[in-house]
Formats: sequence, C-alpha cells, structure tokens
Amino acid sequence: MEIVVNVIREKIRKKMLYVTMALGIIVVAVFSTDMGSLTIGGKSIKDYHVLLPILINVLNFLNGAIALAISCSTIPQEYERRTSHLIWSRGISQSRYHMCLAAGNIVVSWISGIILYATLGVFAVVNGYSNILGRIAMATVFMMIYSACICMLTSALSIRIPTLFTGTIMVIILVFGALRDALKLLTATLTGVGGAVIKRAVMLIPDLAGISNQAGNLVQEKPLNIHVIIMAFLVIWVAGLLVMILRREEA
Amino acid sequence: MSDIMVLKNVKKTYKEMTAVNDLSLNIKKGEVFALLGANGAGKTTTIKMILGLAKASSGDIEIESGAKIGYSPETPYFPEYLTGMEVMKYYAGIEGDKSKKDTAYLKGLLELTGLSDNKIKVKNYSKGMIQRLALAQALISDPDILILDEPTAGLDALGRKHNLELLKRLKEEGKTVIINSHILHDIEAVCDRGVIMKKGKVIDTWTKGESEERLEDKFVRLVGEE
Repeated sequence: MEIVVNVIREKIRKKMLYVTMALGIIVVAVFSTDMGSLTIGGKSIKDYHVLLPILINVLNFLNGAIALAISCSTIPQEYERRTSHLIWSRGISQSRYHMCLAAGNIVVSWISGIILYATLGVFAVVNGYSNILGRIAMATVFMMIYSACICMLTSALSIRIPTLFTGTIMVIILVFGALRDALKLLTATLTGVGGAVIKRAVMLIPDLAGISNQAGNLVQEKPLNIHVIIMAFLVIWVAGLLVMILRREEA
Repeated sequence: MSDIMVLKNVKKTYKEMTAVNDLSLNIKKGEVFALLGANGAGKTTTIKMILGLAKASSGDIEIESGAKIGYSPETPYFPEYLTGMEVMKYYAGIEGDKSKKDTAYLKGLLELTGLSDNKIKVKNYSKGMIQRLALAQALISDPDILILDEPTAGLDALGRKHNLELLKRLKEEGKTVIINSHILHDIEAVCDRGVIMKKGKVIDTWTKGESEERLEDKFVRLVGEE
C-alpha cells in the first residue's frame, strides 16, 4: 500500500494534477466559447447536448494521454534511480512491486480523469445544464475503465521495454484501436496465410477507443456495447497478469 | 563465533564477462567484515547477490534463518519531494512491522545517524545527509546484518567520524556489518576482517592486527600488481 500511496504522492507533489486541471479548464472553456462551436451545414452548433459526447471523447483522449505518460515512466524510473534496490532488499516480490506501481498509476489517472470531468461538470452548471450532471458522473466510470486499460497495458510493457518503445507501442495500439473497424474492412479482402495472420492481428488490437465511446453513448442515452465493456475488463485482467508475471533480471 | 552468512563457490557472469568468480566467504556473527578491491573487482555484484538484487549464476549463498538484513546503497536515491521522516515512514511501511512505524522510533534512528526530524525535503539535502538517511533507513528493521556500500563516501571529516563511531556502536550491539569501501583508513578503524578482491576473485584476506603492514600498503601491493 505504501508503494501505491508513494506513486500518488509523487505525482501530486510534482504538480502533475494541477497541469491536468489547467488542461481540463482550457479544453472545456474552448468548447464553451465561440471558438469551440461546431459548424454543420453552415449552422453553428453550441448545444451542450451535442457537444457533450465530443467533449467527453476529447477529455478521455487527454486523460488517456496522461495515463500513458505516467505509466510509461513509473516502473523504468524506479529501476533507473535504483529505488528498486531498497524495495527488493526488503523482500518485496517483483509481482507485488510492479502491481503496486501499476495500481498507483491507475489511481493517479483516475484522479486526473475525475478532475477533468469535474471541470466539465462545473461548466455544464455554469451554462445551465445541471440536469446532465448525473450522466456525466456515470460516464466517469467508463473513463476509469479506459484509463485503467491504458495504465495496466503500459505498465506491463514498461517492465521489460525501454520507455520510448513502450510509448510508441502504446500509441500504435491506441491509433490502430481507433481505426479497428476501418482496418477490419480493409483486411476483409485479404486472402492466404498472410491475410489470415493480418486479420487475426487486427482482431487482437484492443478497442480502447470503443471503451471511450461508451461514455459518449451513455450521455446521449444510446445503447451501450456490452462486448466492448467485457473486452475492456479482459484487457485489464490480461495486462494485470502480465504485470505480475513479467520480471526483471536484476534490480 | 558461528557463521551468519556463507558464500560457497559463487559465480556471476554477464554474457562474456565474469563479474564474480568462484567466491567463497564465511562471515561470522557480530563481526565487521570488509569487501575490498578496486573498481570492477566484483564487490558490488557480490553485495547484490547477497541481497537478492541479482541472481548468482552458480554457487550457494546461505544466510542464517530469520536473520534480517539492512542495506545502505552507495548512491542512494530517495524521493526528493519527501522529508527525511517521510522517507523513514515509507520504508517502515514497506517493512510491514507496525512497531517500526512509530514516529518516536524513527526519529531516534534519524538522530542516531546525525539527522533531525525537520521539514527539510530530500531535494535540499547535502550528499552527506543523504548518506546518513541511507544508513538510517537501513536500521529500520533492527537488522542482524547490515550491508553498507561506501558508508563514508561523500561525508565530511565530522560526518565520517560520526558514522565510524556509530558502526562501532552497532558492532557492540552484536550486529554483523559488511562494508564495501575505498577508504582504507576507515576499514582499518572499524573492521575485524576482510577480503581483497580482484577481477571477481579473492586474492587475499586481511585480519586486523595480523601484520605490521598497513592495509593501504597491502592493498596497493596486491591490487596494483598485474
């Protein structure tokens, strides 16, 4: 527990959450002014009900980027600074150590996500849409699932892979995940062994953008995709297992 | 005195390089034991294997059952946004023993190493203060074996004197201390026995008062030979 608390304390004392708050205020403020209004068919749309799902996806994207940035460096930094020496030498197993660090990352990303969503809530109230506060609160759950997926996957990769490569792989996963449906269409025409391999590879890319979209669906009262939600929990579980299993040779 | 730690034919290889080669040591309970050698002699790798930070390629390391180990690294890093007391509480929490989380107990350890429970953050600590904090956190579990990597490096004359006196006191309390240090005067002042390592092997042993030759001269004679 101390390791989890220390990860959270480090991010708070390094003012990371203030940066998140500032980002949230900027994004929501931009969407609340003329600068952020959408124009469809020459008609300006400033209705919060239309802007809200877009805004939620933007905030989820921001929080995903924060989750990725935090998780990329936490575990490698422990080994670079050799803080790991004083943890391993106290008989703490690698599984426990890595899981605590990953859990710390998840909690920090949740706090940062809640700050972003709270900013959104404040602006909704200011603009006279306090009736949607409940739905914003419920959408927070999907933000939490989304950032937990990113944190756990990134933490698992960062145990053995250098920070830069972990970040690159995660960006590829996120981009390919967002383009999953398009990739599925593109690969549908492929044949042969190569085609089959590519099709399977596309199927394996976690649909992280899909999880983020569920938050938008919720606020718009659209049906939720239960498969995407189950897949998200599966991703967290598999990545969690990897965090427990993957080891470093030396502290 | 019985052995508290025995290393039998321990070897550590990294790809083509042998860091420690067929090392055998017996460390007795209550003694202050020195690991000596030039840079790259295999001292730190030996310490890492004892602590479980690196796995031996072959050989055995036997530590008395139930013996607790405290470790003070050569280049300690502590979260810079914490105060000394917060660092102590953090590691005490990791140890999991509730009695060791007591503020008065931790404050006592800080004072024992020459620090005080103030609000100064680690980022404002001098190198010597960080070294003292490293020693203080190593004492949290009230260890039976204390492994100190360069415990007087970076300390001024007063700090060195203080730490050496503390080591003597810990020895009197019956603790076994393993020291890796380049400062041979300090070794002669506090250690009972030691080994001189070169290229991963023990090339000679040293026992306090066994010969007229100063340790420094012996070290230069042995390590300097090619």
